[in-house]
Amino acid sequence: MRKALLLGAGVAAVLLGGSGTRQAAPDGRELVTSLGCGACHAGGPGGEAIRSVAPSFGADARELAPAYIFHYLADPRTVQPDIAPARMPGYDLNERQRVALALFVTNDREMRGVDDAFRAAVDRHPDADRAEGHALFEALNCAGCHLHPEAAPRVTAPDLGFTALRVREDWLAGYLADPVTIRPAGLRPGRGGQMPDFRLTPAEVTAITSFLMTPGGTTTTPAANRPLPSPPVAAAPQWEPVALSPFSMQKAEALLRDRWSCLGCHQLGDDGGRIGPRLDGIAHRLQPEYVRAVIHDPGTLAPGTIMPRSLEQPDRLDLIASFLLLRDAPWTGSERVAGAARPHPPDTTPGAATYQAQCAPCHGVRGAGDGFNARFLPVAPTAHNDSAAMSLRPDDTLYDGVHAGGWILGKSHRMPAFGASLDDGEKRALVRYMRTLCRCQGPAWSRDGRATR
Amino acid sequence: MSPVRRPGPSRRLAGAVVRRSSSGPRFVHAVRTCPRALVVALPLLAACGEGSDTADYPTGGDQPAIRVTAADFAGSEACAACHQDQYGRWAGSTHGRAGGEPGPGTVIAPFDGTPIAFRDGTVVPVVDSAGRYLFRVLREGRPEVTIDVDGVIGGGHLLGGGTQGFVTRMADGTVRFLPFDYSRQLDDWFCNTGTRLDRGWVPITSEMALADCGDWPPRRVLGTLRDFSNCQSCHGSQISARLEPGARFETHWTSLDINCESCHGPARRHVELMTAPDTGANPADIGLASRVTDGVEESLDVCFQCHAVKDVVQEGHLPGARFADYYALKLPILGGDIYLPDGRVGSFGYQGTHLMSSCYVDGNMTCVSCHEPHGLGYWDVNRAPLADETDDRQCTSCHAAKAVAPETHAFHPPDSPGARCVSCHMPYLQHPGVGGAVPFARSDHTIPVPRPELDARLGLVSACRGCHTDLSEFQLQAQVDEWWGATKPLDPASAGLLAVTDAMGAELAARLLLHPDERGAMPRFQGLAGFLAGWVPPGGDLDRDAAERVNRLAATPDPDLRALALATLHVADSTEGAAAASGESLAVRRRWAMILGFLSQNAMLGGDLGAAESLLLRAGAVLPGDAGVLRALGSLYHDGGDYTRAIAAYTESLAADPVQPSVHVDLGITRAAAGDAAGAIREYERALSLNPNETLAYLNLGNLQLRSGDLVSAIRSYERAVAVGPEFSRAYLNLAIALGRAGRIEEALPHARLSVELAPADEVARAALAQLESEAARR
Repeated sequence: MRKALLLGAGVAAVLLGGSGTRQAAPDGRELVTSLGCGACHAGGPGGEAIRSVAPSFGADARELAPAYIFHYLADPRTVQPDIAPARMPGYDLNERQRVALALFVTNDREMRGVDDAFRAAVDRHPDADRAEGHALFEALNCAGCHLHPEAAPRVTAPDLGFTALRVREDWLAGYLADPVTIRPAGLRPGRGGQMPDFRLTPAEVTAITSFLMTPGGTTTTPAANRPLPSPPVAAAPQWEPVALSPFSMQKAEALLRDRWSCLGCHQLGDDGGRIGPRLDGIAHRLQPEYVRAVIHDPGTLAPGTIMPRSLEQPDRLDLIASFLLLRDAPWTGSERVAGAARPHPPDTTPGAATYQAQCAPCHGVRGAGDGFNARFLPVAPTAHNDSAAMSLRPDDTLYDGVHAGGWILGKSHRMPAFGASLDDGEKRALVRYMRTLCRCQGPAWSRDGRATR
Repeated sequence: MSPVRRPGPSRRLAGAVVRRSSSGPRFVHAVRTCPRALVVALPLLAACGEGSDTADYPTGGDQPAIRVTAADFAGSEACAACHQDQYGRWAGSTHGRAGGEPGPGTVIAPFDGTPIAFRDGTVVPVVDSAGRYLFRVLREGRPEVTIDVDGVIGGGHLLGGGTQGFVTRMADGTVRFLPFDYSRQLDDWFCNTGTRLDRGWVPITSEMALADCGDWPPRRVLGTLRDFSNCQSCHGSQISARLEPGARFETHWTSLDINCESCHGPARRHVELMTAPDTGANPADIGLASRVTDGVEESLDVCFQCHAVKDVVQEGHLPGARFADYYALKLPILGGDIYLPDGRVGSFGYQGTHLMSSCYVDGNMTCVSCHEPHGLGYWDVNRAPLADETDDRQCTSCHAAKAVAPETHAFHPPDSPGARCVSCHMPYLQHPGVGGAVPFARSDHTIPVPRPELDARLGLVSACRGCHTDLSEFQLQAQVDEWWGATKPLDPASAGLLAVTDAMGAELAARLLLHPDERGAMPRFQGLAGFLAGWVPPGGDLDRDAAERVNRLAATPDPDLRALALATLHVADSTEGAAAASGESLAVRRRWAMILGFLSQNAMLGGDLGAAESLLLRAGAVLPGDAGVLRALGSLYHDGGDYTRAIAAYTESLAADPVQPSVHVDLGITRAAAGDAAGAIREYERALSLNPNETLAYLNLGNLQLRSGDLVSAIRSYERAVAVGPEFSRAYLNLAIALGRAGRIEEALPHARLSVELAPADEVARAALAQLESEAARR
């Protein structure tokens, strides 16, 4: 009964089809498909399949009691002890999150089937409401598996097509067995996505790892297992880190700490932001070639990333890559950042989308300088809603800051340069959007004359 | 006949003043380290650093001094094997070709025997059969003088005016500049007339006398020496000059180009570490720091070792030592005309004006943001190589908004020179201090907005005027207004300096000039310096607002500005200084005392000895027991006729620093004035025991001997003075006077003429010459 509720029609075909036996070694492709990895990952199969079997929510969905969802989210295994290839993974949600999600997905104002535990939880979180549940549903990309009229599935996880070129096999196996957090605030910062725990058996881990690490076997996209497209990598497909002397290692570390913007987003040791993956021990996780390539050309390898293409010279980018790969540090996951998934109202103002994606993690969704990453920065991000301060800055200065980054303009060096990632129109739109946040204009002298554009 | 005496009351020390007061700021073509206005304080306080073990900072607390010696340097050739790329670029750069031993590879001036004609002689630059570069000085009736060229300074590389000079090693161990400079642009010889005609740099013509050139006889030395007013430590690498007590001056350099270690610091340990057999350990400490990780100020300090006017806080700087322990970049502003109110060069300023630029004040721009430091080509802020100095990407790699549709900002045809960023924002401006006859223009590193009317008001050729010579300033300004409307305002301190007038009260002046909340230390210093000069009499109260502003300025970590603010408070309230000083770093206290010394000098020049004393006593409270302050006090008391206290102060100064031959001379002068001729002679002898070439010891000894009627001894002393100090007009004069008294008129006449030649305005010399000529005629 509960299984039927969870998996819905057609489950048998997915669940049991194919081998028909549970003892045979699992097939990696089938597993990835039936688990619905493609629901979140670009380049992975299974998105459509999982949505066809996972329960839908909303107006057309079967009726579910909020208390049932609340308990189910606490530990799906209590509901689904016999693990099938397709299964509800664990998200390690806290009580408040479960309350909010339960209220959202059931839309149940009468609170049918309420039990004492759920009622007590609701009482403990009186302001956890449906809107919060909606935001969480979006953040976790629940719609990747569960259809909902108010949420659309989207890509929230890395492209599996690059897996073999991106990560190390031993690391991947460990990660699949115990998927700790890599990106503290999700692949799209502020959206809050996270890799859930599918409770894979060792055999499943082996099968999936083998499948993902097999070139040509992974992706559903036309360019299956395409080579990494970055020019430097294409020129040096077997790139290995340049040997760095201890002196050069110190130099690179000093530049990372005091000059370059990398630690605005990435954590290294105890320092740095919480937007991207932490940089400690990446040699244990990533392929050297990929590290170099993504530093040189992040947008090509990870479409949609907010990591800007650097304006630094190639030799300096290689220095960073080599330093990070040679640095002696164990790989560890990151801690999830609380409050990273902060909803912001839909806004079609030009520049708003770019601002929310690229700027809001530090500058805040409303430009108050209070983005979730702000507390990890040595210098408080500019409050773009500060009318008095922003009135002193010409539009061109704002533009230049976006383009050239913080250091050369006398601001924080942790502010990256987006000059190679945003085009002129995007930068101008960002400036105009900042002006809507501060409800101000630049100084009069900067607005005079024909030079103003 | 009048004896040689100390100059008038406005001058501090007979010795120091008569001595090497040669070149003020407009005389140099190198860093001015001893500005005219600081002549009292600087040479004195410079001496105080010798005994100090620590030099600390207002930020970061006490820091041990970084000790660097000449032996720590390895020379550029030691770098070549491992750093071939950088070495190759450097070797072809203006630094790598900045000078050296004379030879075809270094000398651009014509040493082909073509004479340089003066009114009173001919100078022939030649290369002799042995390959030696020489100047033959031929004058009618005098023996030929041959001067060896021992070093070539400069290669005439710079676009706005490239010059080349020459140095020769003197008998006293100093290495001095010759007055025969060469301009690549003029393709002609020129000389600096700064101390004689005060006409700046002028091409040499047959209407000029040899002595119209300020460096004839040679007087400017290589190295920083307290008794020489112009210090030239930048025209070579690791130049050091010091007095070897009892012997002579020792002058050393690693090379006369600008070598790797000029920027990277001493590398001998690095070379040893990296070439040691067991270098397999590959140490993290390679004996050298990376310049790549420099902060903004550290990076600027590397270049400002040479590319800025600065005052010497302590002598003996070598690359690698902490810049602020030795140099103060903003103190020359107190001298008056170095910079204009908006920071542009008023007389002679190099690229220190960068400190006024918005790119530095509001951004983090350093020299290496645009200048590739090895080959000295150009790159953008992200180190992408650029073709040349006109490439807009120097600017637009930061000011990207201006690059999208540049024609909407530049208003000049895109491919025209007028459309280049640097054409309007970094025009080449002739340094006013050198005059207009010899090209010496440097691009304006304040990176200003074009303001044709203001430029004209300040006596500058505006960027617009540089091309549009057919338009009036009004027309140019009207065009600027039409195109850009209101332009970016000047920083408040600069605007205040332009607006303030002497008639304003202190309250209004404080509001115009004191801006503690502004970012730039240089403009804040300029404003405060203006306020101190005009509205803070010693002991005069500051009103509450002004005091509050100055107090906030005194909280800045910038040592120059902090010291100036503390000195300002100290001037206004003499009781606060000592207590406040105890909490300040040595770097700040030295500057603070220098500023008080400067003010004391001004008070002396104004005839207010009481104020001068009061200010020096304040300096003494800031730097107790300082040899320089005590010497200045001795001089002050001497001027006031209080010989007892003068003798005590000089004696204390010598106790603090015994190696001060010129203080022995000063003390001798005071003892003589007090009637203690024997004591005076002892002091002159002590001076000579420290520096056998101490001209003024001979000169003043001769004076005593002359006064006592011992003509033979006096003539001998004066002859020694002439021999060791041929640049001293008074040495010739006194010798002429003594010879005249001895009845040796014919022998006296040439010396009297030389005296007038070297000091045409010296009335005493002219009178003596007239008297001798009359006497000769009568005979």
